[in-house]
Amino acid sequence: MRRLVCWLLLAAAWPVAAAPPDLSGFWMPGRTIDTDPELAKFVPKGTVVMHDTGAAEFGLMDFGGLKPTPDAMARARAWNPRAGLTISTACLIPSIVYALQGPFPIEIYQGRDLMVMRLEYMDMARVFVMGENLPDWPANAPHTKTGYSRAHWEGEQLVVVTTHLKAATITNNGLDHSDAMVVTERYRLADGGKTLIATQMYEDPKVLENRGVRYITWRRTAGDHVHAYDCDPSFAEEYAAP
Amino acid sequence: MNNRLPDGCRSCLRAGWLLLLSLPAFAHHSFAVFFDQDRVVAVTGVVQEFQFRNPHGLIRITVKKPDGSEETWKGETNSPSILERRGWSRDVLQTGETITMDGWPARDGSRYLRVRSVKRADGTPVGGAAIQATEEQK
Repeated sequence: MRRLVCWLLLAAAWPVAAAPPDLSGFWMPGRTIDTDPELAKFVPKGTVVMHDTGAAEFGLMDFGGLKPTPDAMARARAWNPRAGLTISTACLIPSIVYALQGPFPIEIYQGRDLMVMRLEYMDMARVFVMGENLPDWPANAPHTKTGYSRAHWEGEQLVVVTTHLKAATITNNGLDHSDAMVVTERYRLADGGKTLIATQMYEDPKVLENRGVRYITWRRTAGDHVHAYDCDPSFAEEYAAP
Repeated sequence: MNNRLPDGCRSCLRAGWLLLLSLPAFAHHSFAVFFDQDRVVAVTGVVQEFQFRNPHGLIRITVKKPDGSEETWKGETNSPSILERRGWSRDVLQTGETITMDGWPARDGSRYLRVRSVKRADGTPVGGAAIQATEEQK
């Protein structure tokens, strides 16, 4: 009996990996923030904080502190917003670099081996493959607007690294990232689980001479789900003539 | 009946109207590039057409000018999914009804605005859902 009690006490004292925070649920866009003390610790010095989260957007040739390479700058300078808005392009999906920060909700399904993040904007769905030291994809593997995302937990924070993103806009004003873009995101819960805070940090040496980060928040909202987003390209006709 | 801006229209920055439709939202096209976020204008007219579609809805109204002539104004709304959460639907506006819409005017001077709020002829705001404090920043 005494031995059994000893075993039970030992078992109770055995260190058990704490369950990670549960990010599952539906999240509406939250308030705009410029920083977060917990996540800022992981933002390298010199990273420019982008103030275009949510509805805010930059005007022409304003990249919020990002330093485009000369080639990228030349492309941005030549960009014609009206010419770029056509039936063919009106419903093109941006990559997660731009899609994540907009004022649309997200919905998260959290599992041990996989996580799924649905974005209402453009009906996008991201899959996070969970685990550390997961293999890289070959450089010539397909590039998509959601990319290849590997994720793991560092304490209370979910860290997601995404590669294989297909070229798309960064700031919606002529500055596009390349297929070499790497996005690192960190997510943490705050306010007792009512708020989700993330950093979205991006690096693309083909296009950017520095690194950018966005701070994004959402608030947990019960009883809702992402809505359908059926994009109608005829919208572009409204811009066909001044 | 109200019409052109800035001179003929009762426009501009009425705080009390704030944000039934949110601040300039996610634009497929860039809001900042196409619309002047430093001005707000309002126009009153009769609904010709209401398209409830992504990425943006569209309200087309006929505005009668003081000289009796008419002109068409277009108002671009947020995406339907955002509006649905504020009580909008595909049939929330009826052809032939009089409304006043306010918003940010097109930079190119065309009769086009990004809609901030819409009111019916009796002053009732379109869309019953109250906006959340956090959404006001969006």
